[in-house]
Amino acid sequence: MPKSGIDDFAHIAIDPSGRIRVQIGTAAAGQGHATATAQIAAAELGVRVEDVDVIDRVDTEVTPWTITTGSYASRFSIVVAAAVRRAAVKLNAQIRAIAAHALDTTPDRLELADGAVHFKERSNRSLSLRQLAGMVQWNRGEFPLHANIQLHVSESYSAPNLASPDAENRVNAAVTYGFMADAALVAIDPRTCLPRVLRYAAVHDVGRAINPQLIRGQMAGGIVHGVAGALYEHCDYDDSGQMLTASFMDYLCPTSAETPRIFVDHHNVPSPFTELGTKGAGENSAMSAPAAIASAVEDALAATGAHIDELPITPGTIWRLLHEAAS
Amino acid sequence: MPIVAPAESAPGPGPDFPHTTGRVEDARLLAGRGRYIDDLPVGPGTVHAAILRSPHAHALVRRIDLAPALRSTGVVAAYGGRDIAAVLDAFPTIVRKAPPYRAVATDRVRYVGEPVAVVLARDRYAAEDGIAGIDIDYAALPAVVDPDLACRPDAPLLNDESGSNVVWRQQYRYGDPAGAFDAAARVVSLSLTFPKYNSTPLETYGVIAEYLPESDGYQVHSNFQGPFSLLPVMARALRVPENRLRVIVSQDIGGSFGVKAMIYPYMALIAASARLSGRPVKWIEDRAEHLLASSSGTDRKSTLEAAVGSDGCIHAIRVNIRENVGAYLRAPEPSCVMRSLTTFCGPYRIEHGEIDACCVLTNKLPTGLNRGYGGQQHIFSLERLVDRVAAEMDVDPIEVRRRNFLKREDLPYRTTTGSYYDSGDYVGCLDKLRAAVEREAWQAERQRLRDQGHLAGIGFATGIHSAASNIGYVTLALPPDDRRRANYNAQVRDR
Repeated sequence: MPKSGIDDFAHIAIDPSGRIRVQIGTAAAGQGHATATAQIAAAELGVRVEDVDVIDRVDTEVTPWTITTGSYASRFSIVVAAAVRRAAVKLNAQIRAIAAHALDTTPDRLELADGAVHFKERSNRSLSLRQLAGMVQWNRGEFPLHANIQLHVSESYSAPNLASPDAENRVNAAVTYGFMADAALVAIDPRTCLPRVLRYAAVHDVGRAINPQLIRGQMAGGIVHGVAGALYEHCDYDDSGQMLTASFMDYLCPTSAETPRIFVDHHNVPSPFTELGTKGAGENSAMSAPAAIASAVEDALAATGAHIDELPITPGTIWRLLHEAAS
Repeated sequence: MPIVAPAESAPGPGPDFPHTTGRVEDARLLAGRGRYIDDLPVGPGTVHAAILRSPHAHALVRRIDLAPALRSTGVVAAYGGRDIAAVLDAFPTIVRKAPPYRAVATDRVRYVGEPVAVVLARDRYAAEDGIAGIDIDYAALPAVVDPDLACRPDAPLLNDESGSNVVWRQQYRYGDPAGAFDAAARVVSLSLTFPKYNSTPLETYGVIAEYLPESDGYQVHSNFQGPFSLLPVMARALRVPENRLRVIVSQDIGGSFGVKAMIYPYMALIAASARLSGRPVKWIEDRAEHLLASSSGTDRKSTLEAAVGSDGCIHAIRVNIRENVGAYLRAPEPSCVMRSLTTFCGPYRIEHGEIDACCVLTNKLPTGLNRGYGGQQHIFSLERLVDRVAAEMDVDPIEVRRRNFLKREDLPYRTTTGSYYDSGDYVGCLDKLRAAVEREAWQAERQRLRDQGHLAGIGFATGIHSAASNIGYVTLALPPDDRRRANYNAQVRDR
């Protein structure tokens, strides 16, 4: 069967106390999806971030899920975030419709701000979300029976421009394409041949940042992951197939001591194809740092004319390159 | 007044996001109130699993004696590969030539750390004692770990049936690469080696599984990160429809980075053990198991050629990829190659390309997702090539990138491979980076280091960060005719 697409869902509700509750299912592992989700919902519903509870849970018997559900391929800020935003926009409309009935007006004259429904034109009449939720929960009989009065909505988001590959093996393989420009400054101790990344700079295009602090965290982590691939981490085997790196004594996971001084900035061009203008931010320099560091080591060894065409770059490799050049 | 919510779409990017400090997740986690897989309560009668793993990189399993384990104090059950195979098939894959990949080896092991038996006991200590007693008679076979050596005709074969360790190979041609190479002022080439590495999250794999005889189904708690396209892969191997495999992801996961997608064989193994034993089974991977036998990214050998004009503009590239997927090609591989295939041109206007890619089996840990998934391999290749073009054409590495970049006004841009680049300002982004490096006086720092006797250097790299994958890209692994066939799905090979 041909395959294509990517989609996910969000469910959003006001509980009887007027708090917003958003349910997503991302199988997150520390990325801060709940925080970003709360920000998106808060922005659309005129409440504070701390007034939004986010439940991020996957249980295939209870929560909605799709074949593409999960935390991979930097998809949250594009797919799940869009579903959250759509659900919040829909709930916003629903809230205004209910409030319009209670305030004897029309929804288009209302807006949500500061945890309440207000008239767009100045008026001292307003309805807090708590009052509104309470009315619907406790006094449902006052509302017309046929009316669509729900304080919870579900929305899904399916990304545009995605089809299955054509007969010439052409396919748009992702929803959006960000950009990374990275630089590394490397120093090598001439006696031990030990390379160190002293500084690392990364300027990326993430389209639009939902939460710059979370993205800085992703980029710092991505840079260290890339430093690991360039200089340290290696699942190494001898010729008989025995693993030589089966403990942290030998598998060199970089620590804070191996972490360079990091400079991070953005040069964002919002995506015209994604709901929020966002692009991906999760993989970032984990992909580009190995190349930048190899380039820096080659520059450091420029006098020898050596090429860095193999990773990881170990002191042994550098020693060999220096001695080949000398002889 | 009738109450009808106006049908409003969400045009435009929407309001600004409110600023927030810290994360809403933090208070709970910092107070020690996280709920990770190992924190979950387990039901009465739960037993704990320990897994015996192969010490051999390549060997026949001639005989397995589980009796000593069963006599060990506290042991409830012990299963070899054939016992597990009674309720768990090999995992399906879209590559027909791939040898069956099972959660537990049956008659042959192909990497150090491959599961060969599982012991269930009243606690993990008793289970570990149990596996220590299992006696296995192996007949060692020659091993191969280097993908190029594995491709040679005299290489030890991991899969006797196919007669080759090359389990998958496809060639892709976009535009007119031959014409571009004929017209090139210069051809720049290089050969590269990218290493196998992992991501070592703080928390290792964990599974708590139960068989539900009333529905002939399974309930599996795990710190699985998705993609849930792997759920049908597990369900097929467990011989149940998808709705009879309830997967519950633990509320908190202590880092995933891709490696926690590859927990799926263990989810199926622990579920199968639960079925065989009639008991809920819990297994928490230890760190040694994680480093030896969880998953890693691929190592890649590649050769590249660029057809370069006299102005340093790259018009075409040829890429030959030998991707080492370890001892088995398991889902979602060979997507490691596919992920960056349609962005082979990176941020550059390279409109002709030829990619000859294969996946090679060797006696190493099988591979899977690792943050970037193919991106780091490809960006390393392309950026090393661009640096080499700069050196050979005697152009500054930043200048050569600027010349080759797609320009802001070129976007949206349909690459020759069909990818649709949405927006961006690559020149502006690189200029901003260069300005930052100048502001921070890196050149002066490099000179100071050199004056002190160090070797010091500055390097650059740029790259495309594709995001939110189209699941269709995975099917590029198949020839177009197979892709279109309605009945071509991943198959269970050896039921």
